[in-house]
Amino acid sequence: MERERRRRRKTKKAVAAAEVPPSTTSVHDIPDDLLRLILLCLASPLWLIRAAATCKRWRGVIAAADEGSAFLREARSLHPPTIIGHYHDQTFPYRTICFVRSSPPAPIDGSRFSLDFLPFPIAVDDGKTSGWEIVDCHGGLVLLRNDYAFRQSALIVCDPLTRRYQGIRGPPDYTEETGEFLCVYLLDGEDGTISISNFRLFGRFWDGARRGCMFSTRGLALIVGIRR
Amino acid sequence: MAAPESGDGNNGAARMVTLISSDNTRFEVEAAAASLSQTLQLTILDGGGGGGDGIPLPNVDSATLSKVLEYCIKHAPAAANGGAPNATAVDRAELERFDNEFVNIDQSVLYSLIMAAHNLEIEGLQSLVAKKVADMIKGKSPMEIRRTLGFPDPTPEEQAEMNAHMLEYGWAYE
Repeated sequence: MERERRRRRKTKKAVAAAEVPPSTTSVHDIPDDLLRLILLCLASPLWLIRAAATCKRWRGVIAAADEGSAFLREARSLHPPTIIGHYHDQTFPYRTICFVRSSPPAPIDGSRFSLDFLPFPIAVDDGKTSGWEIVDCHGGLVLLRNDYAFRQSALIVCDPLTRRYQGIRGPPDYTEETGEFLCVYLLDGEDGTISISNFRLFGRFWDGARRGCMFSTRGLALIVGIRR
Repeated sequence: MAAPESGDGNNGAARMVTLISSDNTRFEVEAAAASLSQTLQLTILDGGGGGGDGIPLPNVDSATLSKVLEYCIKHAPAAANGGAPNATAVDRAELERFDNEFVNIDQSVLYSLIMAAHNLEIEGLQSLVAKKVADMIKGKSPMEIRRTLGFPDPTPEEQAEMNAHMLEYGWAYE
């Protein structure tokens, strides 16, 4: 009896399956939180960038500015970044900075990291030095200082991949006569992400007394603090 | 006296529950398999789904539900062992083989599956399908992704946006 009933159910199921037209669910039907889950499986930032170019909705999910770019932060913690190379800052026989790819090489062309777009040439081969020196690298950005270019900008932050840079003047009372940076560090922006338009710098400088200062792209304000 | 079946704590026939798809098809499965769904687990613990009553699933059609249950039945023994700490390498390899073959299906089924898995809170199935769809995306250009996933042709506006993006992020396309 029980078996009989089960068999009948089975037959009914087979018929029902045949009658239902093939489902035509598309990727556009799935809700944002599932699309998010799928895109979080992309292990390489290169794949994420290409996915972001695919359509407006995907770009919205990836580049969402919610809760401090939560998607990108989660993607980064799931797939920790890899080192793709380092800058070799040499002073002999003349000052030059070249990019050395790590091995095995990342799928990005090493020449993309050339710093030849900075306002003053990096490599000067007539015995003079351009003055740029690498101070810090963080989040794909490079921080350089130039003790010979105080008046234009003592510090410069650049994004080699997009070939953009941002010059940073010292504190208002900071001049070549009065001040000298002891050390400067590149930090994430206030929301925990970093880009050429969103970063912070922490520096210590000497102008007769030791001082610490923080620079933030948000508000483009230079905050001078802690006089010791 | 029959020897108790392995993995069955009930000393007898496994408890069965009935699930009813959106198109009114009834599926009878072991409670252990259905309990892979966090949503169903609560109902089943409360004693639901047994006897003549079924648990209605208004958001899942029969084709999708039968696929979901295929996954649950295969994964239930390992799940019952609490993530199977003592599972043999052979068992794990077999599950992996099953998973790979399981998601080797039509895209529209994949999307229905991931929505059902989300709905029923079957985490393993949800991430299995998410990974499969991501595999279809990775390494491709935006145009190739659109083609692979069956997007309509881009409008001139979309094409212009794509071109601008590729210009800005040229290094990601080499």
